[in-house]
Amino acid sequence: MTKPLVCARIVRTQNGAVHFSPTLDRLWKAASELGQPELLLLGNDLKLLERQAEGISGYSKVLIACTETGQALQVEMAAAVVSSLVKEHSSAEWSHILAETDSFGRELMAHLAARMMTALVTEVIAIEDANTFIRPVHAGVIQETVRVSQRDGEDELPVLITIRPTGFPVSDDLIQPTAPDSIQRLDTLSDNERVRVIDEHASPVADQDLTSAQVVVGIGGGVGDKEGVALIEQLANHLGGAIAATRTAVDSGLVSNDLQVGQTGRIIAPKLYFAIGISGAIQHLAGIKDAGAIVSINSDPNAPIHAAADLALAADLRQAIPELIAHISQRSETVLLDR
Amino acid sequence: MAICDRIVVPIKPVPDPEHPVRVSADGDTLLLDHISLVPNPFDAIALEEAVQLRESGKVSEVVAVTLYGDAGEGILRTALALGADRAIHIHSDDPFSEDALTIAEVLATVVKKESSALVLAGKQGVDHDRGAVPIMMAVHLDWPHITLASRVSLHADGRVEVVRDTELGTETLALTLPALITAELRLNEPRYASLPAIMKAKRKPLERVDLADMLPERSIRPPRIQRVAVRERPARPVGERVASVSELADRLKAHGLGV
Ligand SMILES: Cc1cc2nc3c(=O)[nH]c(=O)nc-3n(C[C@H](O)[C@H](O)[C@H](O)COP(=O)(O)OP(=O)(O)OC[C@H]3O[C@@H](n4cnc5c(N)ncnc54)[C@H](O)[C@@H]3O)c2cc1C
Repeated sequence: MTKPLVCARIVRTQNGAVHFSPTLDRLWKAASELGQPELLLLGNDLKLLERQAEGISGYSKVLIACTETGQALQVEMAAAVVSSLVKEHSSAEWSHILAETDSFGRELMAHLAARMMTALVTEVIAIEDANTFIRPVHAGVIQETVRVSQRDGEDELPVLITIRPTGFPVSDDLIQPTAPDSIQRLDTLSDNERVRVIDEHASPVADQDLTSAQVVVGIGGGVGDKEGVALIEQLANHLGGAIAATRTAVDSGLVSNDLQVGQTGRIIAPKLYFAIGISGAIQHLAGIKDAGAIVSINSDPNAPIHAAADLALAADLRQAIPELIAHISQRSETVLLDR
Repeated sequence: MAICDRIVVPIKPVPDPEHPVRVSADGDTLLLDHISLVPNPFDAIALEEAVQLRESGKVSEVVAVTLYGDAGEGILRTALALGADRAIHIHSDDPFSEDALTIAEVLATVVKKESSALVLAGKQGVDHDRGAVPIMMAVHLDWPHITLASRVSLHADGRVEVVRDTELGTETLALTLPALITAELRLNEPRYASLPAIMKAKRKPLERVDLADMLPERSIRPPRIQRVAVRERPARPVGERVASVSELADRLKAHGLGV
């Protein structure tokens, strides 16, 4: 029986907000296809980590590794603890080590692969068997199947994987609400003397759960200015949705960088995606291809986004969005009246 | 007086991202031959940053490195036209596409041989999106590294301050050379190669080394990763055009997506 270890981080950012990987359940889903998952929680607030560990379902064992209070969690610290765990526990203990494909997980796994000289497969969207994985390449246009094989006569090394959460949707009743059998606190993570944190500005929306939001409204360069953004925010509020953006919208300073969706930003798969004032570059499409339905609103009838959309409306967003909001609020009023 | 003698910038040739890659009719291979190769866009950003540091006098020399088959030479000529002073082409007919560890080891060996103290690299290749090679290089070199830089300031005492963008927000980090830093899209806007620069690039030194003479000895061999199948992602069904917001709202409702 293979045994995967999931590595996830829960950190308190400087403005006090908690960044809790919203995808722990999806990582569990992926790992459980490989065996009975165990979890390593990494963070910078021990109380927070312990509280979270107690409430976690589906993992038989939870390990906790925390920095000195208030110290930022850095990848090198995490890599040091994971590789020493693997060494201590004879290499056969964990068959796979998994993390999310975010800036932390990507870097942690690359670091570990080089330290341990073992195979790394990134952005896995499907698991065929313990050694065979599917991942997108070329901006998601192509999916490749890769197979990992251990070399004859050498110790089995754990295979490192980063998971793209959209490939592993979970339903609420999937994970049995069972508390872990054991929660074990590891030694305080040793400081990374080589890289110093001088300043942190937590993103105001770091908590927005973009990865698992059902409805997402995407802001493109066509949205133009703060007024346009306010309009989109209003629409998102009416829809109960989250906000995303294109590179152009981020670059023009309309929204913060962490909202960027696409090949080099986040990958999302909401039920419904509104692309507003977005041209439809392949780098952006790479991040929304798995959306249930895509609605485009763009004044240029020839914009490529219309070809990618399930419902395409060639219209000026300044007119269309207020109209759409009016439609939605009208409906919710009717619903109220019907009651 | 320059702060740093030499910056090494690894450049990965990638199929021009503007041209969609297809799978052959028998479903076995990727059809890449008709797509021209370009320097990976993030590597071009790293190169631009390195060239700007040299132009400001903080760095003496910018060396571009590529590990690739014959086509690597053209990519390096482009890098030279974009401002690199010198280029090293590690020639190999094996594309190594799945073996990031070997690529990283080879590139780290070059960095050591060049006694460089700073590597600027792209945060990821836009073809395979792994983003692993630079980090693996830093581990092989045992250097501190910072990824996803949107601003890099090199100070006279060898300290480097880096502004970094992640899902959590923006942070400013500092380290001391030697170091490896990876470039985010917003670090800078790479220049276009001017005609005189292209002409000049033809005369800049480009050294070719055979991989076989270069591959580091190693005690542990990593597990093999092999690509066993490729397929085009199933296309989304063709959508419909709507003429007005009210039609849009109706169609959404019809799709069970009443908003
Ligand atoms: C290496 C690399 C990586 C990249 N990674 C990403 C990524 O991860 N994510 C990403 O998004 N991009 C990425 N990009 C950038 C990408 O190529 C596009 O430039 C970007 O997605 C374009 O954003 P946009 O559609 O918002 O802006 P634009 O291309 O400027 O399009 C604006 C659109 O708005 C429409 N418009 C204007 N006014 C109105 C109006 N009043 N009403 C309605 N419509 C209007 C216009 O018709 C136009 O189609 C990357 C690029 C590179 C080179």
